[in-house]
Amino acid sequence: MKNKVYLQGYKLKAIWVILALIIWESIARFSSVTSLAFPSLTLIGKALIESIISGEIINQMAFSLGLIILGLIISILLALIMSSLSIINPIVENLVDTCISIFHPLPGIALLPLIILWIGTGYKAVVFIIIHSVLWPMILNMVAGFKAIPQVYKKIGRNYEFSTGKIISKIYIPASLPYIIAGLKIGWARAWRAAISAEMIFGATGGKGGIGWYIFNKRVFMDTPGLFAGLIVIIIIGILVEDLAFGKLEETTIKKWGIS
Amino acid sequence: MKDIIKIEKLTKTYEDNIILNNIDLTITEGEFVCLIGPSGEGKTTLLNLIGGFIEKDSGNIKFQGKEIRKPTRDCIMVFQEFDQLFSWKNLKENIGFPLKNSREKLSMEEINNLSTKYIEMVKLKGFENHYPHQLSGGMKQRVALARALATSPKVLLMDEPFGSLDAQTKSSLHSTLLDIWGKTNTTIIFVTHDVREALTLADRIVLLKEGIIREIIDNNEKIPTDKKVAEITRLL
Ligand SMILES: Nc1ncnc2c1ncn2[C@@H]1O[C@H](COP(=O)(O)OP(=O)(O)OP(=O)(O)O)[C@@H](O)[C@H]1O
Ligand SMILES: [Mg+2]
Repeated sequence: MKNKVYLQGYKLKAIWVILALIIWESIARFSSVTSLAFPSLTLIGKALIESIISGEIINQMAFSLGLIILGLIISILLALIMSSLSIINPIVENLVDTCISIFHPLPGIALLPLIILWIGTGYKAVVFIIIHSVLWPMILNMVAGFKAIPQVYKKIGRNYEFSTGKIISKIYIPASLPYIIAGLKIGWARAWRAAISAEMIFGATGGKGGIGWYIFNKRVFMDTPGLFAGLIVIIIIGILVEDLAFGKLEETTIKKWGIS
Repeated sequence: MKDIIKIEKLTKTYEDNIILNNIDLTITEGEFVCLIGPSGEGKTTLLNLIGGFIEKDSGNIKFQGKEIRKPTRDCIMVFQEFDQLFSWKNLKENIGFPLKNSREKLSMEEINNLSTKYIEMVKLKGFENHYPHQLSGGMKQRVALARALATSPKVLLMDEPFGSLDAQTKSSLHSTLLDIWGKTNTTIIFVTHDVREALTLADRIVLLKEGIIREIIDNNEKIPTDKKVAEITRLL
């Protein structure tokens, strides 16, 4: 029953997309708008296929995703350390709180000039911006998750003489997984946006600038179909990660455990 | 019979409220003691003190002659809350989890065998792979009991473990518990509101009221007649 409703939802969505494509194609073909601003679907399709065959778009996307994954991993580890210390020690908690108050509202892009000054414009700068975008919301979620853990779990951990490290790794982290996954989702979304914006500004070193640099560059050369091809890939990756990757993660963990 | 828990002149206050006032109580090895008393009179507090979860103000609580300072695997607590099971572990993993941290390092096979043995003891064979959210309240409490027993604690501290169950489920758990208690040499300290439950289970019933032990009732027959229930209820 539920599946049926889902399927119908998907069908309807597909209809909307097809409708939009038809309107798009009609404007491109039958209006006086130049194909530079509004390339036809065939042109875009051709550009997409070419860039896939040449491997360029895949390479740039892989480069961007690599930076994001690196940034995410570093952020998760830092968040784990800071969240754990902050529930153990009130002084650390206060320090972490202060950092969050100061840095969380600060958009990563606003830090760009400073980062260029300090780190330059290489991939390290992009990773830095990603970490800044992900870390603070991640800590917020983790600490909230840790604090929401039922008192009885902590008592059981102490009762069976688990060390603090084991209590955190074996009880706190799995128990607060709904919060951690929510944090990951926010983190991914922010990292993705931050990486693309940063890449556009930093440009490429050695031909590798990531997907953000790729689409920005397409505009510079007035290759509008190529630009749209880039956007399509960005949309597809976004959908894949948000619906499939996170969907799967939730299904195999919190949904299965009945704690979502 | 050896003493296992010895409480002397125990006092516990919260802010200005004296919860436990100069209490003395000795529990012998293998005994089944029920703590009863009106709500908010310090039953949970006393159990938490014996378990080493909270600090006393003064007096002594000794386990086998040694002062209890922190929770240990010797005295394991079973709670009333159904969420005492780890939701991310299935039934068998829940029981195996504490075994992985035991003092005598157990092999995976030993852990597996112990888990299976206690699953059978609490009559949950066939549910090994179920997650807590797929179990009923009574089943969850059986798992909690099995998890506690599997580590062979000397003392089992039970805080109204069957408090939110219906009469029928309760009574079937009572026979399981008495059955297991008969087979092991576990000392059980069991908190309850339910006089009939206390009369069904306990060797001795300790009545806690207004910070002191009002009465200690011997209950060797373990037959909860209406007359006895009425007598004790009058004291509450
Ligand atoms: N952490 C605490 N801080 C302050 N007061 C507390 C705390 N824990 C318990 N109390 C108080 O101590 C008294 C005894 O509480 P306790 O939980 O031991 O009662 P109880 O006999 O177990 O009650 P119930 O039958 O309702 O479970 C209560 O008045 C309670 O408000
Ligand atoms: Mg209580």
